[in-house]
Amino acid sequence: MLELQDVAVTYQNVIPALRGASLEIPEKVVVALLGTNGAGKTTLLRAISGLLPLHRGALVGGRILWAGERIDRLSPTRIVQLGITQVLEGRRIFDDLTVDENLHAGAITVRNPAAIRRAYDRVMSLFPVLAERRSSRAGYLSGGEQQMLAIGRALMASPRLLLLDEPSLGLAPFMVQRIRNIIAEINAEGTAVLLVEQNAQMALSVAHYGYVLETGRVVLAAPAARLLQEENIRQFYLGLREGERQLALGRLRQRRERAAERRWLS
Amino acid sequence: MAYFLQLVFAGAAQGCIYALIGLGFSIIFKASQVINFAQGELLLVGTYVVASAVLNWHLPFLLALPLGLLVTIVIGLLFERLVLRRMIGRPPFTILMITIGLDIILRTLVIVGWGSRTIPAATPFAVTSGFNVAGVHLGSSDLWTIGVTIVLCAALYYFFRHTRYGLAMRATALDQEAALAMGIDVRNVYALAWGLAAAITTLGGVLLAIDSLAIDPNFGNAALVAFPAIILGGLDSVSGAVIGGVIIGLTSVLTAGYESRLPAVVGTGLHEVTPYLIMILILMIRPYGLFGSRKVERI
Ligand SMILES: Nc1ncnc2c1ncn2[C@@H]1O[C@H](COP(=O)(O)OP(=O)(O)OP(=O)(O)O)[C@@H](O)[C@H]1O
Ligand SMILES: [Mg+2]
Repeated sequence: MLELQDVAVTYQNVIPALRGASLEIPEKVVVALLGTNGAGKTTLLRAISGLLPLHRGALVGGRILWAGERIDRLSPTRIVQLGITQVLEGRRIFDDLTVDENLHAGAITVRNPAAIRRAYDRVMSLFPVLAERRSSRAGYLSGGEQQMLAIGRALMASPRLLLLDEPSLGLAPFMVQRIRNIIAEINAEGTAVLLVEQNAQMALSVAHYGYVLETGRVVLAAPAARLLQEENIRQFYLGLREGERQLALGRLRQRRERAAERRWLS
Repeated sequence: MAYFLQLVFAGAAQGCIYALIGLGFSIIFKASQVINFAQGELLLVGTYVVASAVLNWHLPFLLALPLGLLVTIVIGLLFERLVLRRMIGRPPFTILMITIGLDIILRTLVIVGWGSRTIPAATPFAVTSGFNVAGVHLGSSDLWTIGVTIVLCAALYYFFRHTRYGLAMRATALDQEAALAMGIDVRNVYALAWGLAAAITTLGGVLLAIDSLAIDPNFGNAALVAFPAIILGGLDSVSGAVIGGVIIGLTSVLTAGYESRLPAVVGTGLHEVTPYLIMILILMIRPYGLFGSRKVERI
């Protein structure tokens, strides 16, 4: 359904962020996109959703196809209308607006009131907490509730593909688990998901397929189950040591180890 | 007492004019974090067009006004479309300098087109029209100014709270990238902000011109007087602009009315500085203005 072919992106004409990344998202599946800080995950999402120009970035190679049509020159508005919505890293809810206003902002591209009502009801049943707080200021919600609102807001456009950028960021373990279950539920209703995560364990537990991105290239692509099982991959790429959640410091250390790692792979 | 009430009435009317001009600043600032320094000159062009339409082309005032609004809206939209749209994502300071450029261009155009002498302002009322209540003279132009401002504020409130485009504007103001990610067409939001701001500011200018009877190429400086009002209210707050405007109008008219009774050392120009004194005082207590949000960067 969505296909990235050798996508290369640079920022400000000089800073390369993606160097020929290819990736495929079939209909109705969850694809996990993993990688360390600065690997280019967010950039890849921006390339899909049309947000690169805002960051003075541009696609300098390759193409992006949605249902066979190129979408890499389209405006973000057009891309949302075609059925792809991105949830930005760090939630980014409109904190001065109410929960309801946030949700309706998510439906701004939708012209049909019946469709808006349907999407709204779906969001309310997915996130009962939001239903209780419809008219409170979104800024007063807890971190987890804000993440739910961010996802709910994106669902208001009834996307066929949802792009999630690190939804577990800064959340307590039980909340990470809830977000994971919500992703599974959204997917069960037929929405494909591209899930960017640092929390590889969570991501792979819900994804069908996983990609590992490193310095702008896809270095590994495999079914999620396999990525979870293979000990080498777990340790070297995903930084998982039995249930342990990595801290940023740990990741930095890994990055150095990875140089030796690469030699071992080739 | 009647004297005091008279001053309060006049101050409220003047405050409404600052409020309208200030609304222009804050609508643009809120949507795009740009302080539009060409605001005063948009207003200048608008009032000249209205004056010309009435005095030279003999149009009725009620036709001249929309014509003036239309001209400034078109200028605002063109500027947004041709210049600002290419500057999205550039530093606010760069954009601010560009608006100063537009300001100079517009003022020059006015001088080239109309000359630099003073011309009478267009007005639909006789200067003395109005009526008296309990010894207070309620002039037609002041009454209209207050009435128009109240209606406009109510309309804006409805627009921002209850319409799609209003919601799109508020969302964009809070987080441009998040708004884009929702499919909100931010370019349309900017265009809308510029069109609205140009029209509201021009309306303020035309009402001010009615009050001051005549206009010249320095008339756009009125926007500078509205500036303390929006800083006071909070640069990014639409309701703050209105309340700030009224506070500034009241204090400046009240000081003007009573300063002759003060000791001579204070001088007779006190009313010109009180708006700034009030602004500084309030900013010392509330650095982001009365209603401003903490996120606003100080420029
Ligand atoms: N707006 C920008 N301007 C310039 N360079 C950028 C910009 N955004 C990202 N980059 C650079 O592009 C590369 C990829 O960044 P990106 O944000 O896509 O990584 P990421 O995988 O999402 O990392 P993280 O896990 O930290 O979110 C990095 O080297 C980063 O410094
Ligand atoms: Mg990122």
